[in-house]
Parts: sequence; C-alpha cells; structure tokens
Amino acid sequence: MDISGQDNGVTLNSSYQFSNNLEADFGISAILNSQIDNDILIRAGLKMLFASSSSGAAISVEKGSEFQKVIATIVKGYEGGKIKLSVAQLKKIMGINFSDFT
Amino acid sequence: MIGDILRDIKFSINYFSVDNVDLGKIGEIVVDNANTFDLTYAYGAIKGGDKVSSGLDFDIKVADDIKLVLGGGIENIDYNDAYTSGDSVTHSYYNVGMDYQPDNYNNLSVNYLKNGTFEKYGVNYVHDFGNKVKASLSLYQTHQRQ
Repeated sequence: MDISGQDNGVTLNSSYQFSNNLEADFGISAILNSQIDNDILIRAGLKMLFASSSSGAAISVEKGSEFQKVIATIVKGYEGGKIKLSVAQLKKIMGINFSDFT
Repeated sequence: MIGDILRDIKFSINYFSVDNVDLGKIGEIVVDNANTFDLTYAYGAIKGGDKVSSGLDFDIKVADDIKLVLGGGIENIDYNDAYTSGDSVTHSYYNVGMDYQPDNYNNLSVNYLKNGTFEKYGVNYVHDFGNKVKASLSLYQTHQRQ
C-alpha cells in the first residue's frame, strides 16, 4: 500500500493572556492537497504556570473531519534547563486501497 | 477506499537548554512539538499503535535577536497491523530551525523536521499586539514517502 503524499498547510492562531499565569489560544488550520482529502482543523488550548513560574501545564484539543488530537503537557524547570513530559492521543481515519491486497 | 482508524498514544520527554529555573513567559511553553506529535507512520493497514519518543532540544542564542533551535531523539513504535500480530519500529529523528525576534512584538521562525520517511518544512510568524493578544500565521509543507 502506498501512503506517500504531500500536504500543504496554513494555520491561523490567536491567543489571549488572562494573567501572567494563564493563557488561552485558539487556532484554525487548513490542510490542502492531501492525498486522502482536504481538511479543516480546529484547535483550542490552555496554558498555565504554577508557583514561581518554575512549573507549568498545558492542554490542547485539535479536531478535524478525519482527525482528532489531544495533548497534555507538564513542564518542570531546573537549573540549566527544563524537562517536559507530554502525553497525546491521536485518532485519524485513514484511507486504504484494497486493490493493494489482492 | 475505506476508512480505518489509527490511534496513537505518545509519550515524550524533552530537555530544553535555558538559562535559569524560570520557564519564561507562559506563551513559551511548548504544547505541540512537531518532533513528537505528527501523523507520520502508517505501514499497511494499521489498527492502532503506541509510540514512545525521547529526545533533546537545544535553544542556542547566536545573536541578540537570532536563536538556533536544534533537536533530535529516538522513537519506538509498536503498531498493530490488520493482518498480522503487529510489529515494532525504532528510528531517530532530528529538527533544525532558526528563530528571529527583532523586538518584543514580532517573531519569525523557520524549521525543518526529518522523521524517518517524513519531512516537514515550515515558516511561522507571530505578532504580539501588546495588549495580551497575539496572533500567528504558519505555513508548512510535508512529504512522506513509503
């Protein structure tokens, strides 16, 4: 089965910072020339910083007609760097050509 | 053509080089890292899979307003094929990028990601309106070869 292909995408995103520790964002993406189909994705997210800004968390949800993605992230700062742990679940509807299996 | 469903659960741990403990501005928390969360792999009729990735990312300041972004890591994917008992793939990925921020209100970045057979080129512009509102425009192109 050949799934090779090319996508072109454009994303518009905006965010609003409620305070130094809370920011929300919203975005819309268009995927063009996809081998399977064109699609529009909607995304919303929330970012938070905790005490003394040394740790933070974020969550975002993105959804399209064939695609859904949820990402949760926690970040902890240390001297010299920061470590990020992210967990995501993706769901995508794929196209399958049965002729390739016959 | 029919539709099948691909579900991935992905974990990633990234280390970022920064100057101090403070994470920086809240908008700098990375939510969606292209290194780890992209629709990259589908070999055959996949029913689902698990992906674990870990890597290092570095932000290197090369001038007052220019930052070089380098990253790389390794991934392991266990996937369930529709016709076999499944398989496991391990491979590496890397990304390079340049970030130009001439002032507090404008930011332009370009980036390239190579992840197995998947490539992504992107450019991103962010404008801070200065009243707690920011807007960005991103353009990208992906190639995947199988």
